[in-house]
Amino acid sequence: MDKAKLKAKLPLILLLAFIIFTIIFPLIVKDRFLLSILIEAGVMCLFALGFAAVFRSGQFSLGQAAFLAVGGYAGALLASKAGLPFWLSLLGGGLSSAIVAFLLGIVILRMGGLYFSIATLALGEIAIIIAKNWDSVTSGMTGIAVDAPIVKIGELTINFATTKLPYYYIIVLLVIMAALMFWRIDRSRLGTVVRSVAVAPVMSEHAGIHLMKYRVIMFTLAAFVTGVAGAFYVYYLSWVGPPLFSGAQSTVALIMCVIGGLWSAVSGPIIGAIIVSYFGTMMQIHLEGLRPLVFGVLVIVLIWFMPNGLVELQYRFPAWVKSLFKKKGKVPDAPA
Amino acid sequence: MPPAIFIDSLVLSSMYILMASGLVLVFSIMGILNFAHGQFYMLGAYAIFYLFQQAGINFFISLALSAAIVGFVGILIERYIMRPIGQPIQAVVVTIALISVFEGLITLIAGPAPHSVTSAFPGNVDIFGVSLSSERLATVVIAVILIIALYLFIQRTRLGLALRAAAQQPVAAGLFGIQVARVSTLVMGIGCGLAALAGGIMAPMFYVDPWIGGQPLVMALLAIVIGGMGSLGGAVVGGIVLGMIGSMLAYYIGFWSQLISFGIVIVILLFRPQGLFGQSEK
Amino acid sequence: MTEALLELKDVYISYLGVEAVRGVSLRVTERDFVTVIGANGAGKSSVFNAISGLVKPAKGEIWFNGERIDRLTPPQIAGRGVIQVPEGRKIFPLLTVKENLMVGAFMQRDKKKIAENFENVYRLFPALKERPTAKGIRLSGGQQQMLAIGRAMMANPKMILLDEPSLGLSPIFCQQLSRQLKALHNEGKTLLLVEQNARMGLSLANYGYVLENGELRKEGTSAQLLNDDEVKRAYLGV
Repeated sequence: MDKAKLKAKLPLILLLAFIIFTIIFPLIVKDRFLLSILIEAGVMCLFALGFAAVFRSGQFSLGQAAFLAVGGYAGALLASKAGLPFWLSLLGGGLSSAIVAFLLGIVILRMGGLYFSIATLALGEIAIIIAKNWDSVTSGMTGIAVDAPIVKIGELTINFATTKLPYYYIIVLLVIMAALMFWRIDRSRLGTVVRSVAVAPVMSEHAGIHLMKYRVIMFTLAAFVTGVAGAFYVYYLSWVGPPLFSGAQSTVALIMCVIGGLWSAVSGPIIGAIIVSYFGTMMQIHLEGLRPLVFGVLVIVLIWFMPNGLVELQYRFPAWVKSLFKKKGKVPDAPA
Repeated sequence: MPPAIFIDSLVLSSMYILMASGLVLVFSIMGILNFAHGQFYMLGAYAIFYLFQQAGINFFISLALSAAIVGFVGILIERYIMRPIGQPIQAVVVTIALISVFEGLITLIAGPAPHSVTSAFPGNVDIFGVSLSSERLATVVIAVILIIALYLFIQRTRLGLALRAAAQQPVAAGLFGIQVARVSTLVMGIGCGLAALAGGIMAPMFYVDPWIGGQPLVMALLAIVIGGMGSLGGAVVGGIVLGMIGSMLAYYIGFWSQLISFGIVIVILLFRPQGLFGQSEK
Repeated sequence: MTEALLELKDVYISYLGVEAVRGVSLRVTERDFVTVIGANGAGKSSVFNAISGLVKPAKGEIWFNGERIDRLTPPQIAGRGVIQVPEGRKIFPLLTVKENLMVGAFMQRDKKKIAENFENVYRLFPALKERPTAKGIRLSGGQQQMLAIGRAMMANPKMILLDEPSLGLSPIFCQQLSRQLKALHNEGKTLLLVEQNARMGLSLANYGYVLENGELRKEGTSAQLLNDDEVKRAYLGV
């Protein structure tokens, strides 16, 4: 009787197991290097989630790195010039990014598909030009240094300069929060409507106003999450400068989402971000000059064999297991 | 505007137009933006470096060879990678991955250090008492000839007609014997060949390194937006406008000009989303 | 029985597991004018798309001119002389009238033959002759339909498939279209017509089929079908 119920709850159980695993993982495996890769992967998760959110509202943004930059610089300035505490700087980074996105969004989201993409591409370039040249604020290529935060909770004082562990837990928390938020929106009625509109443009005339509203909301929310990620990243690196936000970063988000799987709002981008960051860094270390070549080839091979992304494995794997049983004479029920 | 600046802006315009027309051609028939278009430009520049600079082959023969080689690479990629994958978003990501593939490959072969290519047209020429760099003049002339040739190919030949028909109504084109898949492959070859030619004629004026492809792609995209997507005429107009704005602003107000160029593009997009001279399609 | 030019043998067509056409068999002999009538969604266009190679039948065979064609691609089938005038015309919007016709002649290498066909088309459709440099998108609905038929004529077809040519045309244009199709048939072309406008379709043809929910309901000479009570009630509105 409970087999069906259990099956329905399986994703939730797996998710909880995964969360518990991520929490105890650094306590068991005390590998500082792995920890730093995972922290960067977390930043990339937020980044990819933002891209996917905009994508699923039917727009293809090529300038998401600009919002990483806005959040990063805002966070750095709030921390170093205004002396705001860690949490408020993160929030400030997210909010400034969201405000910029909202103001731009109500204007550029009116443009159709390809033109929106090119406009966002131009925005990404503009962000870098400003970062490089507005010396009085961004200090040009020198960038801005940010002190590691010292957080006091009651009697407990956490000095981020001595350990990376707090960064890890904070980014895990941020990713979970962002994932839950985007998942909720995706499941909402509005989310469903907009997704159906994105695949059937004929309807878009009818849903025009809804669509525009939803797109602005998603663009702004995505920018908020990306901005928080930017501010966090800057704290983590203790520095902000133009090289962090190159236009190529925006396309990396796209690669992550496609490799993970674009047909899921949350798990695809997260899986893609973790895989790409981990193997990307590993290749950087072990392959050095060969890295771009191998990376590019691997991406193409992955898309070739799994055009719908790694998320597809959850369907392929059970089918594969079943096919193993089939050979032993057992007749499994047909895969759905 | 001083004549030297004017000719500089024409040089830039030529590059943007050659890049933009290849992008537009490929987009019109395959429906995707080729993000590796700039890397085909880079490959063309390297082909000139090896053929013309190193092997000492005549500049024009080197250009033709580089276009043929790079065009062939484009054909292979369309036929054996992009077509089997099929879905547009995945194909776009493939072109993005190709950026690292080509940049990585060239870094391996030629190393990361920049190379320079000597000019095939040294010295200056006097035109109406104004001394102009013959290299720049030659570049503009070559580009103009290429663009006219491309125009004639598209407008006046049987294959050009097939190409336009396949871009506008692929299904109907198939019903009259046009093999749309083959046309796509050919167009990818032509587009990549054009990018290689752009890279080749620019190589003597700039340095050549594995990462020179990024900027031309962005500028070509902007040119397309200014002129209007979907027509060669749009790419030409957009390229000229962008080249002029870029070099004039650079001359008069310095570095911030780039910012203003991007800003202008966004303003144009806001008021005329179909481009300055594009027709709005119903 | 004379040799059929086109023959469908027990053809099944399905889209994503839904069967749109079930067991349709039909024959068209040379110089025939055959009409298939049926309501919207009866599977008429599916049959046409299968003949042209745009969809592959799930079951059954399609033969043309003594050769099996149901596994060929659309350009290959066009090369055999089966030319479709697709539903909604699908002319090339940004090509001129002349260029549209040139695409029709894409498979023709013989310059003299092309010139001859141009004359034929312009004789049948004088309206096209008046504006050879107008873009397709600028033509009226009726003119676009003429262009679509003219484009098919340019291919020197052995057989023309016409998918709902009267769709969206005013009654006057419909009459004109009827005359033009008749003229085309008198010139010796073999025509297969799919029509929702059953009266017009049947009065033009010499043989007809009735398609309902993907299956053949009836067949017979046009006169038989036009006098059939069931057909009268369901399709002629009598």
